[in-house]
Amino acid sequence: MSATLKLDNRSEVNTEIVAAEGLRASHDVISVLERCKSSSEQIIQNLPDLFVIMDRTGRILKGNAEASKLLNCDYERLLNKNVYDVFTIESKNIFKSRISVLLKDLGIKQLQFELTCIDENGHQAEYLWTISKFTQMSERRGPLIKVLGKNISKVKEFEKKLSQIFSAIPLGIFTVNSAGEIEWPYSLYSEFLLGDNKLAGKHIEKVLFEPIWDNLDPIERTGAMQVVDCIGGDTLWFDLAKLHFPREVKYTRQTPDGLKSIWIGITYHPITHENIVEKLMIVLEDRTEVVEARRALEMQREIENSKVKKILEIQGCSGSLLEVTFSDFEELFPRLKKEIDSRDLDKVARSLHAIKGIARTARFSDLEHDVHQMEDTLMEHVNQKKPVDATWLTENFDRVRKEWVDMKSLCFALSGKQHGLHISQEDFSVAIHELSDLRRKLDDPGKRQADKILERLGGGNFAKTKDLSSLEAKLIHQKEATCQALAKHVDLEFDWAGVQVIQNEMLTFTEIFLHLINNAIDHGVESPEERRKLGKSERGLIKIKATTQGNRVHVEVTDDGAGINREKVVRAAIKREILDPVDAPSMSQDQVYDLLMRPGFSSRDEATNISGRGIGLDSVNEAVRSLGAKKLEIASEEHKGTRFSFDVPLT
Amino acid sequence: MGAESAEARKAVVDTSAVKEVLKQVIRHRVENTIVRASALKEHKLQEVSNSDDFLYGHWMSLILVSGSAVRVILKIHFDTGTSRGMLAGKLKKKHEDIDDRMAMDHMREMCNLMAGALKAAFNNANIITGISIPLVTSGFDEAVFSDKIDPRKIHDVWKITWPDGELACSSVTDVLSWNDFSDLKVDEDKPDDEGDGEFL
Repeated sequence: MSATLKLDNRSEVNTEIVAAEGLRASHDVISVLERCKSSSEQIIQNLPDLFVIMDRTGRILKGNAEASKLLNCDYERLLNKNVYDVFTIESKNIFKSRISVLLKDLGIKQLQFELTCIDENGHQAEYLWTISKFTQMSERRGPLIKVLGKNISKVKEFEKKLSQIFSAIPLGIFTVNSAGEIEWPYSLYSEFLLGDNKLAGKHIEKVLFEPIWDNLDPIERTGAMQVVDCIGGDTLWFDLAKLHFPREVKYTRQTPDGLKSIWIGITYHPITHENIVEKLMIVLEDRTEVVEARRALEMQREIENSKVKKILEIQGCSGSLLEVTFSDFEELFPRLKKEIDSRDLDKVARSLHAIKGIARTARFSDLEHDVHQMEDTLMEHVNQKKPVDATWLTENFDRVRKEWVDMKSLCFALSGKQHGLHISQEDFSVAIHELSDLRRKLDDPGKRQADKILERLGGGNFAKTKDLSSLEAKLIHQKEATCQALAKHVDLEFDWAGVQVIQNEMLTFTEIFLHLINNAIDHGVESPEERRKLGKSERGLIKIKATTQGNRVHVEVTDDGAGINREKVVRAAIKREILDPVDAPSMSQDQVYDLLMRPGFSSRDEATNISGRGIGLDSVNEAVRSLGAKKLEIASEEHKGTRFSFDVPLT
Repeated sequence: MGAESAEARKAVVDTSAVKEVLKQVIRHRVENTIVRASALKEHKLQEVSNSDDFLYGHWMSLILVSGSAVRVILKIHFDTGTSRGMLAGKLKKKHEDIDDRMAMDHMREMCNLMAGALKAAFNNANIITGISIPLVTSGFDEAVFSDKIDPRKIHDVWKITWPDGELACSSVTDVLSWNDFSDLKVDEDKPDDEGDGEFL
């Protein structure tokens, strides 16, 4: 009985011990959980950002150290403080409206926004707020809101400083979204460069490309249209497409100082994510100074190249040819100036033609080109009977004359002579030329007196004679230049040994022979193929013959070319309204040939820089007559050749 | 006691009277414990206007007195400064000499003493209860976990103030067997029942 009792007693004790141990274990677990909870509280308390749980009236139910700092109270006195106290009235209303939005819209999990509040020192502070609903067991006290606030004042300050730096740098920097719209923020310099003070939201094509559309070449236009299309595409496609994007464009806009042009350099930088271009960052740079400097450099280089070209042309010219070329120009340019001043356009055209021929002989290509252009325009006006603008004429003369003066200056420079010398020499030439003109109008005693004056001045070569053969080098040069241009082979023979003419008339002889040689090669001598077909030698032949016959010199220029086709001349004359078709059948051969010497006649429909303008035989005839000859005689046999001849009296 | 007399007694129990006695007993035991354990002078009891708020302090220490007839949760709502002040006053030390951990332990111990006093009161009325370990946690937890007013439970909250501070006390009593409370009376607790607190 007692043993049973003892056993029973022991059993009760054991049960109590087991229960106590169980209770202690439970207490231990609770203690551990309490410590865990305490640690969690510590984490919340020491969060670097503000943390608050509040009801919709703003009453704080829980907060952390950052919240107490902002509310300027002890951490453990946060309970029942009001979050709204950190806002101004305006900010409070904004905050409340965001809370309302969050609570009304069940689909919104959280809202994030920037809003200014007043910090513990009474200063405005920029905060990034994140608000979300806080789940609790009971809705008794209404919905609770979890608020996280991050002080971004320093970030904003840096952003502001960065923005100031961003705006101060003279670059236009902005981003473009997938809709092609310019996004805010952008550097303020963008507004200046694009002349638009509100770029945000505007389409890139309208702002950047539309104002300069006409200045873009077709490739750039295609590129401009692809800029926006590239956003959303892969980077590889962008890299290919950007090769066509406009890179340097000229903008012209009205400013208080009038129209102003600036050059803008454009670079395109993709903002990518996983190889897809999400946005474009475009950088604009004012390159006006760079472009202008580059253009000035290019112009300078062009001038230098032109100079080098001229030097090479001068060096490619023999000394004797240079001498006669400049000597001829010394006479021709003053004469041309006088003709321009007197508005004698036919003479101007002939002088230009002569200058062009001489320039071609010397292979002064720029001068030849400039004169050809001037001649071209002038003849177009003359043929269409349109008035020629005096200013245009003067400006073009100055341009052409400058070309010659440049050549001459270079020539002097190359020969070591002083540049200033040619000016006095030019004036001197003008004086000689005017005196020579005057001499022609005098009677014989007067001419003799004038000859004496001219001789003393060194320009009086009227009594002096010169051998025609001195022209051979120049004429051969001219023949080769024309043959090369027309791809023809022609031999030039001279038969005038010992024949002398008055030295002052040498220029006129030069003009005559240059024209006749050009004319023979261009119109007379057939192409090598044609000659072969006709059974002729591939090389044509031009013979220049002069003989002294008493007190006159007889001159002949003969070629073995196609001869003059009567029908062709008649047709051309009718077409140019020089000849009435009714008179054509009754015309003699000489009368037909006389048509060739009518001003403006040419059998060519289109002018080349060799011939075709109708400045040719009338010019030669004029020159022949100025030497005292009656006229230029023409004899021709079809397929056999043509002969031009004249007799010049020796005074 | 037979089953019949128990039934008869149950029929005559006035729950409102029991509620009132329970409130008074709890308040009395808690007040006496806190005042004596913390050596408070010139203290006063104050009613709390927002008695259904539950959130009365940054911290909360709590303990459960539980038995088959009743379950009582006792809470002290306080902040660290108050708890340090109470301990400093009791130990006659300066505030700065009391660290936070000691202050928290003091509040825990206070809960322990409160629960012990209440348990003794219940014992005197033949109501057997046990007590849990005391806990200290955030006052805000009430908003999350106990933020309900259950009309079947007896909610009570009051403040104890003294010249240097104040704290809130609250209790939630769940009576599981009203009949067992017929013998419960508001009595004078004996001073030697609440000795000096011991830190856990």
